[in-house]
Amino acid sequence: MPTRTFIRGAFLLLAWMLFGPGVCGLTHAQPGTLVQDREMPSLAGGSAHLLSASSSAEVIVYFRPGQDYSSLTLKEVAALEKELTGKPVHWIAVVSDRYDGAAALAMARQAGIAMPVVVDAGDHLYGELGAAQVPVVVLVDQNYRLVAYESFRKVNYAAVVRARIQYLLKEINDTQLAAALNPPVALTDSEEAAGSRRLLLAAKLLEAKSYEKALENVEVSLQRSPSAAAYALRGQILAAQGKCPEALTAFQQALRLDANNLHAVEGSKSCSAMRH
Amino acid sequence: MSTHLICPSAACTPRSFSLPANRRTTNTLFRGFCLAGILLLSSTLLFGTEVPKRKGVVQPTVHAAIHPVVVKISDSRVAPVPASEKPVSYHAPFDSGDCSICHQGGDTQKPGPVKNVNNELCLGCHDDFHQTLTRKFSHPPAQKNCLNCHNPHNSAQQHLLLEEPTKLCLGCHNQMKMAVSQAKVKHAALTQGDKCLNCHNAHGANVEHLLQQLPMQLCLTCHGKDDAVDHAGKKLTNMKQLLADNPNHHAPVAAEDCSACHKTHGGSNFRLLTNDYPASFYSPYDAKNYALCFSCHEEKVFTAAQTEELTQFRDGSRNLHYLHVNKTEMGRSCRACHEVHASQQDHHIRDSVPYGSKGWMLKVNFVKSPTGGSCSRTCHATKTYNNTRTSAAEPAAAAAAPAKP
Repeated sequence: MPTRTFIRGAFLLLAWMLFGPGVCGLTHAQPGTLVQDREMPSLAGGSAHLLSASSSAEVIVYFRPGQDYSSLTLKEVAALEKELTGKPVHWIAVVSDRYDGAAALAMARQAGIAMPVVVDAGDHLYGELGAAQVPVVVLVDQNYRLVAYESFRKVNYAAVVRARIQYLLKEINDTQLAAALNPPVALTDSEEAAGSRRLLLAAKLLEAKSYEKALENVEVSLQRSPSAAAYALRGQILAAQGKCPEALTAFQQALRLDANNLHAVEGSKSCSAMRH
Repeated sequence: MSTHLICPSAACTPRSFSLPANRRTTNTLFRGFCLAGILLLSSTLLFGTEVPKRKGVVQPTVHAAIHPVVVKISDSRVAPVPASEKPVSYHAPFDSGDCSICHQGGDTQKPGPVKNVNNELCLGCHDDFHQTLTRKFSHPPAQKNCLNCHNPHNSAQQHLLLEEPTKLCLGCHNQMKMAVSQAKVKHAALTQGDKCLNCHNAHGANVEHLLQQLPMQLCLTCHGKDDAVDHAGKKLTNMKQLLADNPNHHAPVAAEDCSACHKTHGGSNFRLLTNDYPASFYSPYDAKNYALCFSCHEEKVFTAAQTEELTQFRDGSRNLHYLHVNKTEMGRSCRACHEVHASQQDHHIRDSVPYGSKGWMLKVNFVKSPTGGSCSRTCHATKTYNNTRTSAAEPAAAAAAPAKP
């Protein structure tokens, strides 16, 4: 009995590996899928190739007329198309033949795209891509492999598509792509920044010979974000007050954190000279 | 109009400020100073006072449409807040009476003009804002002048803000003000905590709309907890947990874009949905009811009885989406079979469906196969579908041109 179960399991696994993702796996085509080039009828007349042999990046924009998200997508793509003019990027917009071609062309032109708008007769490309969602921007590499399938997003859509293209053009590396896809958090404030502010204020107070207040602010800075610069400034203030022994201690604390801190090096020298 | 930017007509005595009394003591010479200051400030604001451009730093995207070039900064907005108004935040130099840090004079009663009229004065200490204001997206009022939003002395608001955040922001963002006030379904994020600043960084950000992070990361700070409730007190799903437990995420979720389906500033649909969507398990088919889903998904998928392209949920060419959904009575809404956020199974198929009024959940028993799948014993007896092509004609695509070698 266990043997039969094992064989059945192995058979199912083999079947999944052979037919699974390629036939009906996830909803849309996955990265690595080979996209076939084809000649497609253009709404402006004639025909156009879906892909181009001479491009490093292929951008397929599948949209539909009379839809807000498609309109937004076309506008964002139009701006990108303009921005990346002259680069080896092949752009093409695709619309299903279920829609009114004139309306689709008008929408595309209104958005400002210059790329050809072709018709997906019988929804064959839609079916192959397993599009499911429209609009979608599909990125394909120079070997005609699908590299990214970017569904519409309201926030940072252009940034994501731009980064995908730049990556294909080898203009950005993995780290830069990751940063574009997942931008760093824009913190409002940090302890380090607050510490730095107090330090700069202390420096201004030292300049104004307001030593006690300068020292107060240095202490606040040190509490928030201890740094060689803060210890060095503490030393400078103490030295200005004529408290060289205390100043030397502060300079030494600064030099322990940063042996090259210029203010601490100079301050130590001055204080040592005065002691002798 | 007069201004405090150059010469506060009020004295700079911390916490003992009395506006009318001080205004009466203003002498003619000081008025002259003020007039000169106004002229200087006006020209500065008219022609823009921006953060100095640094070499090699990408200049941020700014959206000038909302903000006029001229921003009026009036006396009362930047004067020290009297003790009677219970200030809660204090600018360090003001608090310690060090007027000369910013002003040309050190006299706390008559500190005179400020040393510099533009943001450089502020950035002299707040140096981290050199970087903040050059983030990819920047807020024009912050670029122009810190005093558009902050009182340089003290404030009855946190962060030295001139007004409470919502009032301050909506003072310029009129369309948003209208949308927020007209929203039938409110979002607590706008009224609790730091309000607008819960999600937006009013100085500069790396995400569009000055969002501190991508939308979903922001949403999960509140919706990733067990104690979140809606406006009626009903417990809300811990989305962080749900997404962690269910690996198949709906595309907008995978793109971390909750705003594709939810109106984050308030709206007219339940759960702040951007468009209509049936709240019930059954719903007579009407495209209007599915406006939310059809803002991305093709309506044709549910109106074409036969297809070999539009959906993989078909038996041969018999469209099973059409079969389930397109009924005048008891049409299944999307939620009948799909989890809208995340699921254990592919195609966002839900694990179980609610049955009866006692909260029973019945297993859907969806089993995926290489050529389709099957569901069994819940809504109907076991039914299997096979989505391999039945038509002889292969897509033109494959035959038209060979793949690139």
